[in-house]
Amino acid sequence: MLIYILKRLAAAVATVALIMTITFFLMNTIPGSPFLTEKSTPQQIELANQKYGLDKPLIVQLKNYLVNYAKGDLGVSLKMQEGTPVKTILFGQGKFELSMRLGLLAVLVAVVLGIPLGCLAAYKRGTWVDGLLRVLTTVGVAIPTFVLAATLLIYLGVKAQLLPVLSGSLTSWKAYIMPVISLSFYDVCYIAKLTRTSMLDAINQDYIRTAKSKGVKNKWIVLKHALRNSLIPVVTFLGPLIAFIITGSFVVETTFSIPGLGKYFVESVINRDYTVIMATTFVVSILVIGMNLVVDIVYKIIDPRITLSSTDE
Amino acid sequence: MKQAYKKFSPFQVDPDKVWADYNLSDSDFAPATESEKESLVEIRKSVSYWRDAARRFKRNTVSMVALGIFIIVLLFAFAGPTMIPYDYSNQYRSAQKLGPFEYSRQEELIRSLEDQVDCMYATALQPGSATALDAGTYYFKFKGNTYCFTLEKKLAESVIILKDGELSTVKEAHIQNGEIKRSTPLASTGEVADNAKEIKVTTKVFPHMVGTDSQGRDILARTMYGARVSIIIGIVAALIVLVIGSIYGAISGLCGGVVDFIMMRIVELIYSVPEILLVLLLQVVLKEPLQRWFDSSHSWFANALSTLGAGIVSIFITFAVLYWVTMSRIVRGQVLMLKKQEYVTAATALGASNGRIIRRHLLPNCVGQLVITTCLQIPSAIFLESFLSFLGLGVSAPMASLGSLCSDALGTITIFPYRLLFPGAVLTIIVLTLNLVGDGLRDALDPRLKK
Repeated sequence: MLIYILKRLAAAVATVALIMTITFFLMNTIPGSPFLTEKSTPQQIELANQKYGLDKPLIVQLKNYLVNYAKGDLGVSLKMQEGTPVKTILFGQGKFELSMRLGLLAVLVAVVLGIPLGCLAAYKRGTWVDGLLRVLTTVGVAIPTFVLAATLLIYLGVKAQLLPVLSGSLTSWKAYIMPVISLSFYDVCYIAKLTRTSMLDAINQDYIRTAKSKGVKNKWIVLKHALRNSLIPVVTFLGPLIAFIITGSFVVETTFSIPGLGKYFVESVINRDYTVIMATTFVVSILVIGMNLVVDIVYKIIDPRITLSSTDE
Repeated sequence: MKQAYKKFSPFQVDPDKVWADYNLSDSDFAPATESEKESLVEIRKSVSYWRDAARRFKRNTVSMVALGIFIIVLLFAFAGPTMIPYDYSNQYRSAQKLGPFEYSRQEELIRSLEDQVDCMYATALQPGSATALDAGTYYFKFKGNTYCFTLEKKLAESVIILKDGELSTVKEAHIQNGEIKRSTPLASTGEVADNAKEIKVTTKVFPHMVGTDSQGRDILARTMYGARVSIIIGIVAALIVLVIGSIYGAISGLCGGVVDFIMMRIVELIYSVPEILLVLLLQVVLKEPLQRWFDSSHSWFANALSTLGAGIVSIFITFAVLYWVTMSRIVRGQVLMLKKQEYVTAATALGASNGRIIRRHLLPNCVGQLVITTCLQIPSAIFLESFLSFLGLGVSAPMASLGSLCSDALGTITIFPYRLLFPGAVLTIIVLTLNLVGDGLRDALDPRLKK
């Protein structure tokens, strides 16, 4: 187990380094310089390049990046907030915290709502409850996040005026409602679908029949025997779920004007602020890859049948 | 056993009887005639895999309804633009920021003439920045007749009307409460002059069914066009994924050993990359080099791609680089599984060549999976494209996709919500129906998977 975790950690570090390298070279193929504005002279660009070390050969720049990142130094912003350390921008100004609060809440909602809904559908299989949930979840996974976010904004925010239109820095609990719903809706539906399918799969297994013949109540069969075994595909989905939530957060933060990490990343890509792009990529990659690692280990705890030593499927 | 024997034997042999009891004559041993042979032929025709799948699919009501709705959306996107007089890129200055079925002042004026004239040409309703008709010779055709006329001077804010075969021009100011107060006759000939330009006349002012945007573009026309762009992007991206993924997966599965190991490590690496970050980066990185290549190269390939625009091409490249991994894993899994099947072993033992095994056994058995995965790839490609366009990457103006339409509408969402809801609804319907059709295909093509 320990060897497995160490191996995976090493692979994760290698992947993050690789992503940083790819991002670095991709960014350097963008023509133009971050210092290029209408007023800047070639001398000024030259000077700025020297100041931030952009005049050095690419390999040296890359080495500097990786070494500094390993030390925890994320550099300073080149353009959007010139001179400010990126660490301050991402963590000091609450961007990271804001996105994390929103994201974790959305993950929580997705799991807490999705799994019971899936169980309910499987338990009430073939009844109108099941039918209704099936229609809801099927439609739910087809609605793009921005359409849902905008619809909520129009009807709850503008027409009914129940909730604030601009969520801002999420100071009141009301501001959370619409962003969290839009962010988690797809995942609630997906998890509910997944749970239902795997639950029905589990119900047909022999040990359920044994439990039934022993006279165990239906409710306990579902909760104790079927649920635990049907959670495995759901746990597998939790890894990609984090990625989905991040994708969604780009859209949701734009729609509700929340100054979070996602919105800032899109802006930094458009503005070509190299160091900010690199740092955001770094942070998000660590999040996603780290979550995948955690999910794989949780996997092992839930289902002892899975051996972690081999990476083949 | 006895019963079954009796049932299927055409000679009605009773095994309890002794052969002598049958009183068989020589004629009973004569060769069977054609009609007798026919009665032995199996009545049920063998059903091919595809026909069987089609039958199963047809029985699936939900998928059939979804397919029907998707075909309607296809008609909306591809045939729709020919049915309305507006174009996705044309800007109508007189009709900016209209609501659904609203008319501008000029349109109301001209609409009041609809019943009084045979046909008309209103300068105010023409697209573009200069809507006036310059001096010159023009012609139009109406009900089989050709009318050709010459304008002495520039004509603006006026309507050319055809009434009882007579042409005349009316200034907008001279239309009051649906009545023409003053008109100037216009001489016309039936012959088309050499340098005459054609103009399009109308009998009715076509309503803007979903209104117009702030630049006076018809939103219905733009949504039709955007749906077309989105669907095409989805299909092409899915095909790119199909080709790259299945070739990669097939090579990996067939070769096995070290090749397989290395290829699968590469797949795992791409898998673990948070793709959405790289997608956003690629969009920005690729745009300018692509544009430069389009401008400098004159090959047909570059020209064809440049009509699509750099944004769309970079979406395709993104799919080609990042999104084939799932497909390659599925194909590899299939090939690995099929390779071990007894019938493949049998074929190998009988001396079948590798090519024959691939063609006869591996490909036909993989096709179902390929169709299913490709079909489900289309909606996810449309999803990604709309996501990128919504963030302002993806397709660029004047082109439109459903995502960019929603993005354009976001700024004015509090005043004109339908501008976002209409394309958003079309997008949802496309994704929903394609998902349902894909599910139906999976049940039909791979009954083992049915749950």
